[in-house]
Amino acid sequence: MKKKQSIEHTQLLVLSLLAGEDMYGYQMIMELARRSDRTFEMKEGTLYPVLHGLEKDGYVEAYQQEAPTGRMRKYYHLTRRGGAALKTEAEAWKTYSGAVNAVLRSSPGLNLA
Amino acid sequence: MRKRPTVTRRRAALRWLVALCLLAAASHVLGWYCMTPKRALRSMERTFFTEQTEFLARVELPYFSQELRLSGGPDVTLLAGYSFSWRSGWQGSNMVILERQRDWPFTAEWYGRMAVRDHVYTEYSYIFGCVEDPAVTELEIVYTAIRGGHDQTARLAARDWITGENGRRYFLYAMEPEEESWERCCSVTGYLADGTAAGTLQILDGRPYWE
Amino acid sequence: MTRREYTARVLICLRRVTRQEREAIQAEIDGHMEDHICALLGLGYPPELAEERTLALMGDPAEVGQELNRQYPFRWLAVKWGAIVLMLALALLVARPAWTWAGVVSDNLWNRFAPTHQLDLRELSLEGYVDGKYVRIASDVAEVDLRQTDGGVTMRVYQAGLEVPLAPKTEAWVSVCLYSENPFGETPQIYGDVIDMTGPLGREVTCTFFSGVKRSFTVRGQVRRGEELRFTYEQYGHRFDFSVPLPWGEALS
Repeated sequence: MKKKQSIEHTQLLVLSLLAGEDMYGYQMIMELARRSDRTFEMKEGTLYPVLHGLEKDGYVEAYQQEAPTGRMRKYYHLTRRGGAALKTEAEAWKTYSGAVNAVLRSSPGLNLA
Repeated sequence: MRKRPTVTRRRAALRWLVALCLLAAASHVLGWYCMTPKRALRSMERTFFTEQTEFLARVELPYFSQELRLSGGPDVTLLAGYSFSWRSGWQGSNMVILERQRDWPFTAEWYGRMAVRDHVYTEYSYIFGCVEDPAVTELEIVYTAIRGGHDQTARLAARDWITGENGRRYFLYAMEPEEESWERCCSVTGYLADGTAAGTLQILDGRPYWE
Repeated sequence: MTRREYTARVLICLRRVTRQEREAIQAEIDGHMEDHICALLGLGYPPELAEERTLALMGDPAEVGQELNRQYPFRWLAVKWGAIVLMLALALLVARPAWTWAGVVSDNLWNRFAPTHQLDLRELSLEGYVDGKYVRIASDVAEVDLRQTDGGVTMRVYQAGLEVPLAPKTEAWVSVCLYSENPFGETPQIYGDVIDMTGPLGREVTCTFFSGVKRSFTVRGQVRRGEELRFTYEQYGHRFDFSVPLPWGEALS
């Protein structure tokens, strides 16, 4: 088992959200909760260190755009580098989760579909 | 709706670094701040309207925190002092230009700098030039003290030549420093392989002339 | 805790950010809470409860602040400040030579397109006032345009004048300027004492520089009626050779 992913799981989830469209912070929180059927409901403030870290590493870039309320909002956009990292990590996660599922399925006493 | 990109620290730092490099490159190319002695040489060549020359030799100029560099081209031989300071970059100064004369057996010129230390005047002299005629195999430099200083003689042979582009032969000789030397004369005589004199050039009495 | 207090507690943990970055982070977190509160108000929450719920879901402000602070390492800020300092230092060092260079470019352009701006024979006088009269160098000045290029430098003769056009023998003057073919290139300072001038029949002519005039000078020499003024510059492998027609008038009877 890998001790540390090259991208943390939260970062992976954020990158996958941005793969579809550019989003701002609150929008990401709502979308994440919706897509995961409320399984992932992170502390909202902790999203921003993740986003700023991804921006620092070049996986996302940000821009300011005027919101309908007139306030300036900071949107995040997935970069090409971020897209490549997402693809790589998603493949790795798929392999990893597949292997875990396979082990669990073959475990006696666990009734998993 | 207009998008206003956010600039990360890394991007801002890289932009400033690029701007710095561009300013440094422009300063170097335009001669505002020469990063190399070669650029300083090009500036001086342009100022005095000589052709482009190539560096041939370099000697430290004691006491002046400079180095003397000899450079040569098809039409001129140059000797100048070069120094670097953080304030001005590389700069050339005190350039002496020796125009080549292809119908002469050799050309020669004197370059001198005076230093004062504890009220003692010391002169550092250099003789430089170009051996035009391949038949000339030796040069004799005779430095005669008239008032102050002392006589000096030097002989330069093939081992002392500095070969430039297209096989052109140059020379640069450092005389011994002279203290309190107020009047002197200097001549350079070229010799052929059989010992015959090819001519004597007086070089410290105004413009060089043949005896 | 209020919204303002929450943001303040986050910001207090940020030790490695600039004022601009701090303001941006504050605006982003404030904006997030505002969006959440607006959403809850839309669902019918009263304002106080909406704010309380929002703050509860934001998480520990100190933890958020510390994590945010980690995303701002000093490294790139130091590089940026270092680059700015070096740039300012270099800009100060090159300010004077850059100004001189700008003058060279200006001279190149003026001399190429409008040399009389630099030096006009009609504007010059020999000694100023002589016997109460303003004495001009040349009483008859003709515009000419003779150019020769060597080594990327063009020498241009653009005016020719005579002191006394009707006399059998008089002083002739021509205005000459230099410019580099590359407008951004350096132009040599050809000084009068290195210009070897010969007039007609080998008579010497002289070259005069006027202070404050860039890369422009006059050449003058004694000429007999009907003659052209010829001058040659030859040094270090470069050569310019001009024969300049002069504006002779009708001869005195």
